[in-house]
Amino acid sequence: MNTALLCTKNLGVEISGKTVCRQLDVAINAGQRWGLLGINGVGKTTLLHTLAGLRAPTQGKIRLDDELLSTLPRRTIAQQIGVLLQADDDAFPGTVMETVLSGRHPWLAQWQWEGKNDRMLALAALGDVGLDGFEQRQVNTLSGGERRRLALATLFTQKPQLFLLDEPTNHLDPHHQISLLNLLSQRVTDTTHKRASVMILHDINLATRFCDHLILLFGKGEVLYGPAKDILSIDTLTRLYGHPVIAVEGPNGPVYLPG
Amino acid sequence: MNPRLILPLLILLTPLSLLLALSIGSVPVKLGALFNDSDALGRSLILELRLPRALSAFAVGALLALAGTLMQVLLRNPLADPYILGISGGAAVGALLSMLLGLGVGWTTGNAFAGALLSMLLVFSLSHSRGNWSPMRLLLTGVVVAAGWGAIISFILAISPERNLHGMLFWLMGDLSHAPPPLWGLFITGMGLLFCLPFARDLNILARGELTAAALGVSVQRLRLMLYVVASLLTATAVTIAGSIGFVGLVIPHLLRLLGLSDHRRLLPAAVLTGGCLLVLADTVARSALAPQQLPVGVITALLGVPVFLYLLHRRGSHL
Repeated sequence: MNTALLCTKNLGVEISGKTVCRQLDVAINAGQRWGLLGINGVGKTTLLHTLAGLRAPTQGKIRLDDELLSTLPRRTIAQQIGVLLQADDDAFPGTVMETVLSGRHPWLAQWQWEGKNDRMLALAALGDVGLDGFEQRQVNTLSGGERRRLALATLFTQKPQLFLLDEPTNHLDPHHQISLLNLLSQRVTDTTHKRASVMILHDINLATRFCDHLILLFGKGEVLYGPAKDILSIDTLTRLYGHPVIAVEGPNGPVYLPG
Repeated sequence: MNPRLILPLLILLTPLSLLLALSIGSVPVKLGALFNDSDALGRSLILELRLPRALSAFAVGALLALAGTLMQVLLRNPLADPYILGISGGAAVGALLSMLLGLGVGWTTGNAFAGALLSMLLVFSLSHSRGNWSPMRLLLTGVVVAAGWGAIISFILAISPERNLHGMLFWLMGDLSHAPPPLWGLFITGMGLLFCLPFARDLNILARGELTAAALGVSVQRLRLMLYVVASLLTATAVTIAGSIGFVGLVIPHLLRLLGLSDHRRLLPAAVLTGGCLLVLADTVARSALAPQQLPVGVITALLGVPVFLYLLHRRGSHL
């Protein structure tokens, strides 16, 4: 019996002739919070998009709940995988409420309008990210951090099993970084649901605090992955970033700083 | 204004604009003639001349506004209008060639439609290479093909004898005086709207970006292909009926967005009604302002629409 929400078999990903990973066999199980780390341009986003089914892998297979990801309709995928993209753009106007309700899109039938239940989910999600009272604001009047929180609220409204997040803490102040990652952690570790998350982070200390598993991309296809406590070390991180990393003892274990 | 009120208001405005179009014209006739058996001339003037023309105007305005809304989402570009991908250019070359060769009105109409379809297929096949079909590629291909048609149009105008030029210029500026019977235009408007409405929520999502849409379960490539075909056919129909009337397709969607309508489930029907009403009113002005001289309706749409649009933009400007 396979309990993995998402697993890859012999996965190879390339972008513009550059190898992101090859022969990757990783299983993301319910309750796990994965962190995806690496230097700029190593292919973190590309790998995340591949896991989300937004681009095809160069080789290998991805299974979502034991079904081949490439054969599933987009709507079915969107009911199970939610993606927080690096940035949304808004060429056209729209309100905060309309945006957060778009998270219900995969759950609504073709002709169906959002109902009371959808509205309640949306309002609750806005409350969670501290945007209550913003419902009628135009999205293009929000600050960068508020937009990020709106995107997270949309993701919470979507209620996927697997959360894939591309730099969720971008633009967020320290308070919102911690409170939003806490919210996400609660959703994933809540054992009444089968949920998991994979997030790209640039802050090693947020990764050690909010992730129990890591995927490290070293470039040229070299990948290290597994439980965070097994693979995190000063040497590994120094090699990962090509920059000396030092550890300082903090109140909850080591804190990593660039040397 | 509450965006929910816009649609009911438009539903009220539509019959009013049609009634106005029926009661105004170069010959003074009262609407009462319809119920007065002794005024057969007045009745036939209204029913056989003004009514078909008003309905044609409504259909063309509706088609252009709907096509413009779809085209803006397809190209993710607020500056897109129904003509940006060269459909009207292809139609104009078909129509002008027919006029140059002295063929009848029926041929002009038929060849305009054929030219529009040719342009649509040409742009599609040129922009669709190796399975790669991005809005940017489509936009560039369309704009360049449109420029090509523009050159051919100038060439035809340059070699045409002077007696043909007036008709050609009217066609190019948009004119409803040779519109075919309005029923099929109205039919295609209705079909177009019915076809698009089930996808209106997908359009909301696609407007927020290709990746966002895919991540929320929209089959982006299929939706785009559908948008291209539908918007092109709607534009081709409008251009065939009345030549290339500018402004309606570009500005109606923005006008409604400025009024606070961003949900395409309301925006699409509202665009149909607003575009229809605007063109009915513009055509009424075009045939009565300098009567018996007729003005090209495209001139009036711009003269009516520009101040309204600028006023709304000014009022809401800080958000845009």
